[in-house]
Amino acid sequence: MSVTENKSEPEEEHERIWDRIGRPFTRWKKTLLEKSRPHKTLHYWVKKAFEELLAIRIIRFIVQLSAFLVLFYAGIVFVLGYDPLMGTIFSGVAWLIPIFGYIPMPFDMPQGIAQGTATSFFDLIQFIGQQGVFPYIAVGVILIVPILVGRSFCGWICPFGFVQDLFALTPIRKRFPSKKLDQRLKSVKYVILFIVLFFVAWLGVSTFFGIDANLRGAIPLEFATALWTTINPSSTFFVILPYLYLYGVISPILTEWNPPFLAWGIPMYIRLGFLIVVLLVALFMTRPFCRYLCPTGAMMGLVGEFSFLTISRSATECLGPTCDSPRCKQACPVGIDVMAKPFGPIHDRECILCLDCVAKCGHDSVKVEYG
Amino acid sequence: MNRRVIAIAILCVGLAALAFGIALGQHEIVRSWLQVFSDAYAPFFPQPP
Repeated sequence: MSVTENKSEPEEEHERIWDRIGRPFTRWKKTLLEKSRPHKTLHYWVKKAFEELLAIRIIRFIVQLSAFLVLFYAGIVFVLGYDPLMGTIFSGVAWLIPIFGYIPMPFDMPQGIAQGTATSFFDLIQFIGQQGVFPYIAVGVILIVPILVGRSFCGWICPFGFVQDLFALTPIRKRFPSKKLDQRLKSVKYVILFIVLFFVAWLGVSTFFGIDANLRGAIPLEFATALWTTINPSSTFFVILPYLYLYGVISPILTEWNPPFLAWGIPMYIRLGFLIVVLLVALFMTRPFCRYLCPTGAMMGLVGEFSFLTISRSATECLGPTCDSPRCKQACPVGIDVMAKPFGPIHDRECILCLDCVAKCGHDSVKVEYG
Repeated sequence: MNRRVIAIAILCVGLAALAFGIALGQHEIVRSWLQVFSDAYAPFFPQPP
């Protein structure tokens, strides 16, 4: 039997008053005490600044920015066909690009356009699959990488994820759909994934048996080559826009070279409209594309659910519903309610392992686990 | 089934797919798509004798 049940009426009244006045007062007193602690010397502030500098969010930002710059520059090199910084001190940095380029990366690389190169495994699946060949390498990558590191590529490397993070920095109040609607919208990306894979399989099998002419004749070339990559906002942002600027109608440098995918037709309107809508929504919501639309993330999430690398909720340190500052939930860019998860490793296919919840938890109860 | 067992099984299948893809020469398809990089960076890499 608990003590509270035996309390008399005055005692309960005292508790109520204590709740209203005493506890906030204690907190205020505690803050005052913390502020007046003698150890807050220069050393303390230097140490604190160093800790802040090495905070997870800052490290992630630096990694994201580096990946963004390398990949964006790779897009420029691809568009131009040569290295504009060749001969300068920066050309050494650009050595990274071909190294990056030869590895099928498990996310939407900016070079992955219908008429361009393909290094994202999802682009590879579309490109190779529609030729009637099973994409072994791409499938191998999708199975290996998320098992080893989960969806951390989404949170740490993906350049379009970084663009969305930058948009989220705008001081506009973020709004999120209700939990039920959120769950329904999150399933959209799996529907997109299924449609794309079904289409690729259909076209691939038709090509294998030599009966693909009618199918290819019925749809624009770009959609047949890579259904998703053609409208992928990431490809539009990193490749189509530079192309348009350098060779298209926006450019002062008009050339005779006029690739078909830059023509102002329905595919171009669709991809530009899609990109604008995604970026506009990204002003009001964190990572809307990753949450609801990205089939690459969906594919990684399905495998990454079994990942060795996970976030873990400590049974001994997490206060659960009694936590006075549930910042882990508020910090999550993809809307995972960490505190609603059972204790131990959190196997959520939406988790992009950004570690914001780990950084934000004031009780050190959200941790990273491997194994 | 234990999650770890499933994870190791997926990992093995992935490694097998990757090895099979390389054995079939699919990495050459990737390489050919990225030829533009080779062309752009040819001056930086040591030329074969």
